[in-house]
Amino acid sequence: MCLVVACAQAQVTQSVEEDTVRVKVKKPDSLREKIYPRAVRIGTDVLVLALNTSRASGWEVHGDVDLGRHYLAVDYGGSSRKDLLATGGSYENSGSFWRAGVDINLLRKDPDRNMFFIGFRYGRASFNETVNVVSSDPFFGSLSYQLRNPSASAAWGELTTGLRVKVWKEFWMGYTARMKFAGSVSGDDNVGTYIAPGFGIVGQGITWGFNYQLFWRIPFAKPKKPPITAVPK
Amino acid sequence: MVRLLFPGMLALLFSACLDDPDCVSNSTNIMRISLKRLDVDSARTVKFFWISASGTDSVFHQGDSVSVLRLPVNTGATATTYKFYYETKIDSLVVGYRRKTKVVSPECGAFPQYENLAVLSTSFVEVKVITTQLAIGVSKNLEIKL
Repeated sequence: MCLVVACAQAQVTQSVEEDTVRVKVKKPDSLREKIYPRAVRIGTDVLVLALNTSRASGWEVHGDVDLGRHYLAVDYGGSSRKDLLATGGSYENSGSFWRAGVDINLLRKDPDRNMFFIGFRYGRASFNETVNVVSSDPFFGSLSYQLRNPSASAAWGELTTGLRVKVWKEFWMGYTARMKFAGSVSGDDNVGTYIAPGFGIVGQGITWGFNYQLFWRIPFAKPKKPPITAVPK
Repeated sequence: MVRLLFPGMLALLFSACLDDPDCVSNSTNIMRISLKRLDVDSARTVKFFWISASGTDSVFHQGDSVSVLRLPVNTGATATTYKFYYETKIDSLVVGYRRKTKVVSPECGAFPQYENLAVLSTSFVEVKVITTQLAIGVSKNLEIKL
């Protein structure tokens, strides 16, 4: 008797399992951030401007497009410097650079769209270098000459992290820390490149960068919401 | 996620303080030449009266019996001509090279590097280029069989 009941129960359970359809529950669309341009943010690095001296100067402008959780980021800048060398002579470098990449905002629920982000950049620089060398040799005497790289270029990758904080209305501030890697230089036939604008000292493997930035955000028109229709009682 | 990433990012940022350059350069304008026997692959010791180099009045290895020569290349040119006065012979060797300057840092200065060493002409029977860069630590740039 018990055996018959157990068999019947097992059959019922099996038929229930066969009738059950497993459904993968998707997140409702309202919880997913749609990808569309919400705003553009344009700014500059005040730290670079503050550190300008008669020996070295530079500037950078930054822009990003708010696509939701992801931001398309572009930087453009220039620098020039002249150093006196301990061995005599001087080193001069001037050029421009750009970087482009994507930032991912890790603060997903912030109502003001403040950011703590990680990102990636690809950077390129074009520059020229001049070295005035003064050297002395016990056999060939003292010598001074000039060597130039008239059109050198560099490329590199960056991992970035930082903050963007809304200060007042559309005025934002933030910082970006950069780990720059895989630097490569071409066109340095006469002078072994010392510094590539936007990258830093060449030949050390990884270099580091830090920007303290001020931004102005320009929002685009908000997407139209579907009209709410009144339900008649 | 954020709590995990933030300390890591800070550690990366502060490790930037370890970027100071070292004032180390292995550049030199001294070329090292080893002398070998023509018939067998072994070192040969030769007594030189002297060796002259273009661009200087100095002479090198005057009265020396050596199997390895240390000769400077002309720092103000991209080629140097040497004349070897030894035994009853006079032989010549012209080497070419590229001079490239590397700035280590403003505090350390700029150092010329001599590379792409090549034999442009010679009266020796056989001269072989072993290492094309002149640098401290390089044991042999050229090999002359005589």
